[in-house]
Amino acid sequence: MKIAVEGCMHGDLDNVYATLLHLEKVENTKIDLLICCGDFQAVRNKNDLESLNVPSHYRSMNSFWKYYSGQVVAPVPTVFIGGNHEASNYLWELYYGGWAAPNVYFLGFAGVIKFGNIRIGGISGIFNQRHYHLGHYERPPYNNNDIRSVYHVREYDVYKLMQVKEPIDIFVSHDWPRGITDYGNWEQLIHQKPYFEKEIKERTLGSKAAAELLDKLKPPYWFSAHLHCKFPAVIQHGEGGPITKFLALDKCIRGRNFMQILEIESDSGPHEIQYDEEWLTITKNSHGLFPLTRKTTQFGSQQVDMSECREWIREKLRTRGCKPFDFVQTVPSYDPVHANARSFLGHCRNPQTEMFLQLLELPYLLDRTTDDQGRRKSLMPLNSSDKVDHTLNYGDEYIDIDNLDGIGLVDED
Amino acid sequence: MFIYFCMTMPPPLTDDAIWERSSLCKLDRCFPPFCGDFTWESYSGEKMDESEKRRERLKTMRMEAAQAELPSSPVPSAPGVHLSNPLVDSSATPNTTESSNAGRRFDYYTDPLSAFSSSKRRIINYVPIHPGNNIPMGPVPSGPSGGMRSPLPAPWTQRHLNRPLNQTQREPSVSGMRPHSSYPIRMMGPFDSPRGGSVASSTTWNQPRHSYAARGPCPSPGYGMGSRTNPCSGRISDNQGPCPSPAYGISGNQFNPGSDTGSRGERYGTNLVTAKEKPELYYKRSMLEDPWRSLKPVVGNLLGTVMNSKTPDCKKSWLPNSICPEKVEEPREPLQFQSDSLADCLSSSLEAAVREAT
Repeated sequence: MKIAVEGCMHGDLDNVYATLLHLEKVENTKIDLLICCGDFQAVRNKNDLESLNVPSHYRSMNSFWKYYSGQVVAPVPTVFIGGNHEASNYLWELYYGGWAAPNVYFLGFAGVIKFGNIRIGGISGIFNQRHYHLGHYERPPYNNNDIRSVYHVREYDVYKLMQVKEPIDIFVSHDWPRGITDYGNWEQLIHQKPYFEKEIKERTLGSKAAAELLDKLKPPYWFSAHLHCKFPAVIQHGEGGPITKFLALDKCIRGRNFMQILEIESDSGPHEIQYDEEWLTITKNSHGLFPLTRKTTQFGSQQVDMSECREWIREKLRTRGCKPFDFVQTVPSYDPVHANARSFLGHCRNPQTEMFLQLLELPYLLDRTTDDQGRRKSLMPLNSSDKVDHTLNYGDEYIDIDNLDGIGLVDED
Repeated sequence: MFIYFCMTMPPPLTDDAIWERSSLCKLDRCFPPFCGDFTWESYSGEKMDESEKRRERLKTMRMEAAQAELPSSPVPSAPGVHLSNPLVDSSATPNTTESSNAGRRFDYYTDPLSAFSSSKRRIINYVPIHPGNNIPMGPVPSGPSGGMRSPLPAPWTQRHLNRPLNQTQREPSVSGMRPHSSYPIRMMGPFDSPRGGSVASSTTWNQPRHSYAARGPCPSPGYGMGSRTNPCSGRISDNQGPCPSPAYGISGNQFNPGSDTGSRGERYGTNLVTAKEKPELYYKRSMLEDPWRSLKPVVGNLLGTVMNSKTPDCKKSWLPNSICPEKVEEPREPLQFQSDSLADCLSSSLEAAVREAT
């Protein structure tokens, strides 16, 4: 199986797919799957831009809406995770994962799927200690603070992934596992990106949660993006232990290292995306713990016996099949003729999510607006004149990345 | 207005040269400046045969010539040398022997600064830019060891060269949709939201599902493959019409791939040439090469410290060499005392200390 991995998508599906098709033509081969490592920007229409946390000059429709509308279909099955530049309202609809567009599958805020016999796991968002132990309290339409915290990784999602016992082949995170730079050519990285030197030296670059997951799951391959550069590393987990090959990739700009092709041993096709039995078991088993408020939670990494639940899930999938529920549009797609048309800004129950929860016989919680004490959480969005909570240090999440793109980006090859 | 410079310094005059110049003066009837008060009449004393007088005369001529070579005297160049003005005489072709001396002579009718800047531009032109032809400069591939799954070997495409793949025959095996999905979408109202607005009626936008008929002004002629022929392949901006002009948003740099100098360039200019138009600008051969080929696994633990590596500890550590952590000393063997007396103990300790010191 040949898998293409891409760094940050930033809504530039047209260019990525065109590059992929050109590669297939030039190399006379066929790519079976595309994995995108976040910042996908699944912007369906103008309203979704309201949930996209980017500087104003980056706030454009780009090309995802064409795939969402069906005007264009992704030529290669595509799996992606979320980053820190997302239409967060849409990804929240698909919290458990699902089709964001035909042939384009969102892995969820945390998720594991199977593609053929290859097991792919991933976690969306980026790490920020301030929100790590909080619940998913943000609801669309987001105010000026929530739009910046909604994509912060929560411990609950890490806890679920920590329950995975069966081997994962490929894992994807948007930000790099913290400390992974020690296992690659960090001198060259600092030479290319000197403004990361301080964070690398202080061991604050990257995600602490991703580092814990990497140490627990020990997948053969781990892919990331976020820092807009290519960086390979190889870590061996103890003497004689398994090896993880890490690779970070750039965003799609011509001449840059934004894509990598891998060949992985797999069974013969045809391959398709399927639910993972163990992951569904974990999802069902931990759903009662799903934190949806600002209340601090501590999950730890305690392993839970899920054997009974596992058998129940197995039976369900035997009856229904492992194929995910079909894609359904939930809001109108962007129409260039009526570019300023506005529609719905609130939360929309995605049929895929509802059917998924029905399959697992779980309640729908994504639009829950009360905390555990029954108090209604504030959903009032701030006006543009309202103050942003500047005590929350979000600056490093995109300012350093976006404003420094052009510096030191000399291709190493 | 051009300034005429001649910076060629004449060689020191010898007796023969002075004599030769004197002869020239005689023959051409000219009086070069170095001749000073030299007159024909004085020179006509050839009839004087005495060698001493002749020697004195030569000495006098040498002194006069030396005075005439002082820098205060402007020295015109030889009348036979022609310096072409490249700004006026475009047809002038420089002499190859002279051009070889161009580095030592400055004989242009031009502005020195502009000559310098033009030479800088010539230097830049020597740098080749081949966006689609990147040759890896890294170390020799050593192949990953111990991987659970082998990554893509470099020559893997060779195995597929005999397996032609007709791109146009790719089946649009689109996952995640069925022909007529009619799941009733449950829209949540704009609860509590002053900005919620009204929910658009499903009839206004919810066109027949999954018919994939072309919508909008950019019809895609072939479902599934429409992306290749869609005339609206460019990025569509908020304020743009459905089919923006390819020239929209040019901010320079578009002909210099891989050298995005502006942080925002990729949004407004550098990706203006799309991968549909010129995919070779986006595709790199290194995309198929093993990115880990030059790396060896480093044993470690992300939650702790790097435990083992082929590289020295000081190189791995972020600490400078001067404060590199000291190695833990191996435990010493306890001293064995032969007797219990204090004198013996002290003596043994002293001997042991001396042994360690030496």
